Amino acid sequence: MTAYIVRRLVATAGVLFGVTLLVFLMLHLTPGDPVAIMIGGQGGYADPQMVENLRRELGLDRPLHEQYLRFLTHALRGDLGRSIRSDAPVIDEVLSRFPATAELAVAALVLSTAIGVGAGVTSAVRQYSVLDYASMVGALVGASLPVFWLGLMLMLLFAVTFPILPVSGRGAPFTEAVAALFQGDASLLGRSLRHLVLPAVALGLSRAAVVARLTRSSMLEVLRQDYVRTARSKGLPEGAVINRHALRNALVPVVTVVGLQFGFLLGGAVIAEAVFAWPGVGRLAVDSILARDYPVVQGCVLLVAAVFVILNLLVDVLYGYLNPRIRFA
Amino acid sequence: MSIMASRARLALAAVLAAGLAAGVVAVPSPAAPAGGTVTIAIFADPVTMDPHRSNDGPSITIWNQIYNTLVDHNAKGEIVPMLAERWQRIGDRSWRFYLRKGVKFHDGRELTADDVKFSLERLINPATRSPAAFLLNVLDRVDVEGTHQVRLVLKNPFAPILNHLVARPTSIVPAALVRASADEFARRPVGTGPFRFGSFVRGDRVELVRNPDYFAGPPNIERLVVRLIPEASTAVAELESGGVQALLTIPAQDVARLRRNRNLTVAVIPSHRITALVVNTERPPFSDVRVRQALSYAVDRKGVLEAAEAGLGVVAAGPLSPIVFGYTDKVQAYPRDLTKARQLLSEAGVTTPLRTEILVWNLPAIVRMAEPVQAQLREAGIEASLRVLEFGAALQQQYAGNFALSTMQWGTVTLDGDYSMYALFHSDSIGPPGNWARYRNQEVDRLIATGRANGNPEVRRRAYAQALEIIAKDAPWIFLYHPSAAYAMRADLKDVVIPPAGPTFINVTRASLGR
Repeated sequence: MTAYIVRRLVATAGVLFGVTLLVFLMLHLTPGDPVAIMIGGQGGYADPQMVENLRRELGLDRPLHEQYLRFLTHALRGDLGRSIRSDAPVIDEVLSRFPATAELAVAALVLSTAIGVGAGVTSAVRQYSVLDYASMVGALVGASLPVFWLGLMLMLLFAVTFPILPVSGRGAPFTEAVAALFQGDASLLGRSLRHLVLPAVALGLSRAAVVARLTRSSMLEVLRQDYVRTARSKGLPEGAVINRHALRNALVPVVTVVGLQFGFLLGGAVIAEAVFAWPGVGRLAVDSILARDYPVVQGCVLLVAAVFVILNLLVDVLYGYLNPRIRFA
Repeated sequence: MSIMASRARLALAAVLAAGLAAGVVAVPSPAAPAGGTVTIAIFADPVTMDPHRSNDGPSITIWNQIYNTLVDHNAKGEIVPMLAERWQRIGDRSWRFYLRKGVKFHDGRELTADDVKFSLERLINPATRSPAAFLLNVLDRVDVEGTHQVRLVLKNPFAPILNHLVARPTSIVPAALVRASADEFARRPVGTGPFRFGSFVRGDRVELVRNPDYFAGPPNIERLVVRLIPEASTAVAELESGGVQALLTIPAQDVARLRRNRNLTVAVIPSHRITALVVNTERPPFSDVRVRQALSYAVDRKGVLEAAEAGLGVVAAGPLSPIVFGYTDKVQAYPRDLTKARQLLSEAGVTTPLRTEILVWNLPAIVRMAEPVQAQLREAGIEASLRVLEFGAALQQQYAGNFALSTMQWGTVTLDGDYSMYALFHSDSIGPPGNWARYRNQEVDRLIATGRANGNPEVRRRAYAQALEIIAKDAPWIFLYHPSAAYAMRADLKDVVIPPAGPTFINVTRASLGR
């Protein structure tokens, strides 16, 4: 097992290298120059001498391979460079934004998994019942609603028409709120959660639909297995059959998808972040792409890629616990 | 009109009148009770808290609260004292500024001539990498003549220097702190302005705290929170639900609806901006002035303004809006005249339909402008396809002159005509600096140079009027309209001053929250 994990970690480094190279090339092949956008986009007089100075100061006049090598050697030392726009260290910019995105993605993941697995199991156990049809129609609708539209509708309903939740923004970092709870102050946690509800629902609902459909089909397959019949015939109560014997096995493909979902949620958070003014890394990435702020885009992508790859590794390890027949050599 | 709406409008008129009376330099008044938090919303993240490192609107809104410049604009757009209490022009190329005494930075240190020298020279130093260095690229050096006296020595005579010293990237920063660590300074900025820096959560908010020692009188409110809300519908929802008290930009399409909300005051004010199409004057057949004039005759400006900005704005005859120095009402916008347009095209030997392409920035208001223009050109026998490109990519094509017609939006932020005339129509500025039309006219060059160098405002005004007349005839741009700036506030937020340069420069030093 340890050898397997070490091997995977080494492969992760390779994947991340590939990601940086790909992103670097894609960014530099996209037409548009950061200096031009910085000056032109801000409605200023782009004095040619000044543009040239800026490009030189930023190292943008160097050949592409040289720029990439410089990025790589610095990155290996843990230095991701500085933002072209703000001159702030990239690591600060990205890390200050990542917790918000992670918080939103985790909340959406928990929500989508809870709803999805719940609905999926119910419809599998009560196949062809009204409940089954209702959940599956719900899932179809949920999967079809664009996050953008759903977010605005939820906002109008629960924050403007019936003002029970805040319109937008992040109340307080969840970790800080939990820390405050331990010191006996629950108000911060309340604020944090209230702000989290709408964006998490908007982001999580469509994912819940995917999980529900998958859980249903996987569960249906397992329920037809011999060992389930055996479990029933030895007189186990139905609840135990479903929970202990069927669900655990049915969850293997679901866990795979949920792991991938997290990556999707990290990326998909961009839209929810924009709609709910959520200070996450997705918005930073979009702003930086539009400004051709190469180092910041690199930083965002690198971080999200690293999280994604490591999560997938965790998912693979988790298989072994869910289904002891799966073991790694 | 309902009574409430008219009352809201009266209140707004009062606010504007108060603004006119007070100028932008706040005059201490014993008015409302102090305290309270005002939350305003802007659409994008400020790039940096360091005023010498960017030139973006959101940053300027924040800098405007933390820092001061040497001089400022009042509500009429005239130059008034700020950190400099007076100044004099010495000869052609040098200006002496007498600094206000007893002005304190937020860390308690007194402002001196050294800070001014350091700040202005830092802005233009290539190592600072400021995209706003162009504002003072005429500056040769700053001489310290005393603790509270500096002399700005220019490379060439430059009449609009005071207007450039209003621009927020010329804000004065404490030399000692920035020298010690520019990074640390950008994290915890210190200025002389009405609000001290509190915190900046990227992507979320900037919090500012009242400066009790502000030289022009401390603000009434205790805290100013600037929320960063990128999505317009979300920002409007926050305003309607009371989560924010002021929204510095509202979409033109929402103005009519928000005006019906009695809890809000909606204001539409003239701006210094111009929306237009740039014609590449080097590319046939547009190198022929008759073809360019035909384009100008083919467009119904009022109709385009209606479609793109819900009619909020004024049709344009030139690049300078009526609130900019150098504007003239002698030049009239081209009327729509399809017969004349077709006649000019045939005189120029152009066979219709003339097929061409418009390069369009992928911004909603710009696309809404380009579509009706396309339809109107078709009626004059000009078949223009739209090539919608992301802003950065479009910019590259425009710099290189790889286009026939292209959308353009520009603002004369200094409120002085030179800022636009030199960048957009002088032959020295062809290409990236701003003259994308690649327009050359020696007489226009000469007049723009006069406007730039001559110290007599009347001579300058005449020079610009003449230049604008020639430009209108040469039609290197299809001037469309000067869009208005629209902003909205909760009705209980009183005495906010929005200067002519626009809501970006919101001044809340006298603001209060009341019934």
